[in-house]
Amino acid sequence: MGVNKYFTFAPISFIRNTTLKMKNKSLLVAAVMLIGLTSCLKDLNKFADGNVNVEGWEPSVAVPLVYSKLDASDILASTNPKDIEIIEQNTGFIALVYRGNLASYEPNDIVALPSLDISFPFALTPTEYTQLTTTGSFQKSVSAEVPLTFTNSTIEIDSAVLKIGSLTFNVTSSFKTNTSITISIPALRKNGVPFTTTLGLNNNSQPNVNQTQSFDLTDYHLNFTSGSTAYNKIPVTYSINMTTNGSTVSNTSTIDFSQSMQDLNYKVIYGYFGNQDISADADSIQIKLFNNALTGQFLFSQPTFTMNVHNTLGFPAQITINSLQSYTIATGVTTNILYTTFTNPFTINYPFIVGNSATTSVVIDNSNSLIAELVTPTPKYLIYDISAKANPNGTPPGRNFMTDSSRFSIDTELMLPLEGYAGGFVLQDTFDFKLTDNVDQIKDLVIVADFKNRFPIDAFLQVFFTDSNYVVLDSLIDNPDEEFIKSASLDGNGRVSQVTQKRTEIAYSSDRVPNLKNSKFIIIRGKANTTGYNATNNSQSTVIKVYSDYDMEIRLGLKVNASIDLNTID
Amino acid sequence: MKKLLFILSVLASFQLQAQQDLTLYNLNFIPQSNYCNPALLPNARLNIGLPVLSSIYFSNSNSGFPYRSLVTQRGDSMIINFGNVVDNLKDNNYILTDLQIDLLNVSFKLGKNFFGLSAIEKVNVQTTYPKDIFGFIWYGNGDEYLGKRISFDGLGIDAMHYREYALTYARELNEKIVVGGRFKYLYGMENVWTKTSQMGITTDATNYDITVDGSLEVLTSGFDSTAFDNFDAKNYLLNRNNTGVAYDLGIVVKPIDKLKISASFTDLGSIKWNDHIANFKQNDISYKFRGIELYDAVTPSNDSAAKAAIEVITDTLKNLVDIQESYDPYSTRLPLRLMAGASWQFFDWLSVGAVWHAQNYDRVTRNSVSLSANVRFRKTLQASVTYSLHNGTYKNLGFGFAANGGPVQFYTVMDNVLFFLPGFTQTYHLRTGINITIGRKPKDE
Repeated sequence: MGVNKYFTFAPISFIRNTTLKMKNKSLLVAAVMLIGLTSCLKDLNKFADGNVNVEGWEPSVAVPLVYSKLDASDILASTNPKDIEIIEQNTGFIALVYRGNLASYEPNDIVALPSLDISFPFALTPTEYTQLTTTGSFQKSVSAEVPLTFTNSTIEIDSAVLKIGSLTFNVTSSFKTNTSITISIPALRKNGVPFTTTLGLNNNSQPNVNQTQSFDLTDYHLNFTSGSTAYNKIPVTYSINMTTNGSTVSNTSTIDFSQSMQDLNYKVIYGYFGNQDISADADSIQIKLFNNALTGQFLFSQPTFTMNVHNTLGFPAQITINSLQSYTIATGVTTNILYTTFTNPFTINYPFIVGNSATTSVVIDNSNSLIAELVTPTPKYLIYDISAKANPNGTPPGRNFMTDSSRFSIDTELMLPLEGYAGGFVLQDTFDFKLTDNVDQIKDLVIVADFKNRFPIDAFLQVFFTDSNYVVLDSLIDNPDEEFIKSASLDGNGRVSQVTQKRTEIAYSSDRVPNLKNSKFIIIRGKANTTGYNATNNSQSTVIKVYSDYDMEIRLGLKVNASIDLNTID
Repeated sequence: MKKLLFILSVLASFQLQAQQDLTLYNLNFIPQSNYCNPALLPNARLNIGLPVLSSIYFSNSNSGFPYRSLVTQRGDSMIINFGNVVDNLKDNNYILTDLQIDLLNVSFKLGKNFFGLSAIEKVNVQTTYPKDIFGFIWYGNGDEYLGKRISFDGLGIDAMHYREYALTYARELNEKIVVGGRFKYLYGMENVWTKTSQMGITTDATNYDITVDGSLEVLTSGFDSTAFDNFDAKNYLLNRNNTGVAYDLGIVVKPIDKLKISASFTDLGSIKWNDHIANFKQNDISYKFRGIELYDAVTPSNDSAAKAAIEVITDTLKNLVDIQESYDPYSTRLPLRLMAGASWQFFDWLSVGAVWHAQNYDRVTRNSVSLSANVRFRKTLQASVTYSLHNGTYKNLGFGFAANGGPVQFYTVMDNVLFFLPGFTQTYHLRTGINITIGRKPKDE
């Protein structure tokens, strides 16, 4: 039995805190003495000894405890007011809306640019060596293609604009020459200017010389289409210029090249992102309305579960609802909701222009599911498991694209329009209960409950006082079968036409007060029937609707008749 | 007999609360009897009051109840019996306390003229308490007061500490008429005046809604935060800028030889308070508490719905209370007193009389009536026994005497000798002192 709230019923505390907050009695007695002005010394001595009492003191204290005006949001969506929405603005018809959100997917979850690396040694052929040693100089251009390699081999990248990234060259030469190497990457451009750089290696006496240079690739455009495969390749040209300086040049000398593009993140990327599973996730929606429900009949006429897919990824995709189940907390039973005839998977819309978005809604209702099963009044969750696939039909007519802000997100929404009926709908909650000390000084008490109800709902109430093992010691209401809250009157259109007021006085007699003293918990159990529910045969003839202007004024007051003995007050 | 019962009923229905020298009125051996009526001439031709000792006066009265009806003893315990008191209280009840000490008192007769000079230190305190304070404590708000306003209207204190410098003149117009008057210069030291006090609590009989209403205005002089900084006794005693004037006027008529009729008013005047002013005013408040929000009552932050309710009330009242402080001078009237008496001289040594006293203050008039038998033994001793109606009670037996040993006079006057039986009376009154009196007449006038 869950205990999630704390409620102290403290009428005597109230008395003590207000009229009788005289733990040391000094104020009271001093006031009396002052008024009398003739208090003799003997009286003062008795006062000093604490031998003071007020005889026959039986005050009655009445206080208003609760004054609340609750609308449907306060009653049905107390934990989150956004759970209630007006779904018909002209009438104010409202619905319970419970929302969830599957994780949205980053572009890098779909295509992440790997490092583009290349390295090779450069050596002179005998002819080239002769040319160098004979003429004292030598020039040569070397071309290469840097591959873009993905685990998913179907991914083809045409181009990208980099958000961040770096390009590093590392060159080691054993030639005893003055060497310059100009590196040109026409496919790597910034503001239309191709990337080019020159490395100088002057080596007159040392056996080896090394140079490393790095470049920030932010805002560079990468074009992968000028290579031999028209995608996934970056051509690079290395122009080598060597000049001897009188030293002997070995014919086994080499230049070792190493080039790496790393930490590449794109702003936008184009190509074909392959036929791949891009997401698979599960989540649940708690139906809070039934958090404290025990049993009863409950019917929402038109419940719907909607998945709204918001897509700014520029490629075709499909979603598959792997499962949609209700999960009853108390029993652990799961029930499949979807009919087998439900179209699954289904294609979602996607944008054709960078920056645009496309939305796809999938509605699950009574026509394609057993969603009505959800709303049997027991605490439960709606559990769903969804996966998505990119380019399910292979290469599309146009090329794919994504930006770094593109997302693929799925919002879920369980909407329960408040139209239907409830019968024998029992809610229960448990509170800690701590009665103040001096309970013996309570003679009896009266609780006044006054409800002005604009909902088409009758309610019945019982309050149990239990010990620490939840064994019921006493109950508050003598006749729990009498309506505690009486349904408002309906007009011919099913709309509430008149507020109904019900005032109840609950007397708690002195012989029952000791039960309060031993109580550790109170269990509040309420039962609700919508208008027209026949409790005798558990049948319902009226479907009611709840509107935003329905509300309930709740007033609770407490009157405590006490018998005060100052000598027993702490 | 029916007429007597009627008269007693009428007298008993008065607000018989204050008590001012009803016995002293009959004792003309005592020069201070002239305080009651400036035309009541002392017996001696020359009267000198010893500073401080010539007259020490204290009176206290509680119109609500005698102490012993509220507090009784049982064995070693002190029992408070609110029940004995509550239902017998009037809507508003008063505790009046007066203290007077003569600093100077000299008077003499010159031919048919009478002159007097006096300086008296005076303290008056009036505490007003409504019946419903006791009723609220005793009954609570749940039964007796459901649907009714628990009234604390009038709750407050009026207190005044001032010095009176007085010049008295009286003249025997002829053998049958004496008139007298007194001019008083007043020097104020402290004052508290509860000018407005309207407070109440109403509990709705249906839903127990609690409505609090009220307004309050208290004017003070001599109590602000600077009043006692760098305290200078001389400044305090002589240089406060709180002054005023007051007048007494009286007449004594002897239409026939044995009958003496007298009437007077005293303390017709006021003091304007200018120094160390601190005034406080709370404008009208009206607040209805209907309860706290349902969710506030059951959320974990509130360990008690009742406690939460109290916190809401307290916080709201704190926000409503907006006491405005001001420092504007103000004036207060002295409690105006009226006295009238008549006596019949049976013999040289015996007379009987009746005195009516009324005191008006703050729109309330309090009446007292006294019957007396007065005796004198030549020039040596004068005594008076009085029976008075005060505070709606009949347990008021007064006695006073003045004994002369040569020029030295010792006197003591009490309007209620049951003072010695504490708890059974609602009034206590004592005036005592030592005078020098010279030139006493051998016979009554």
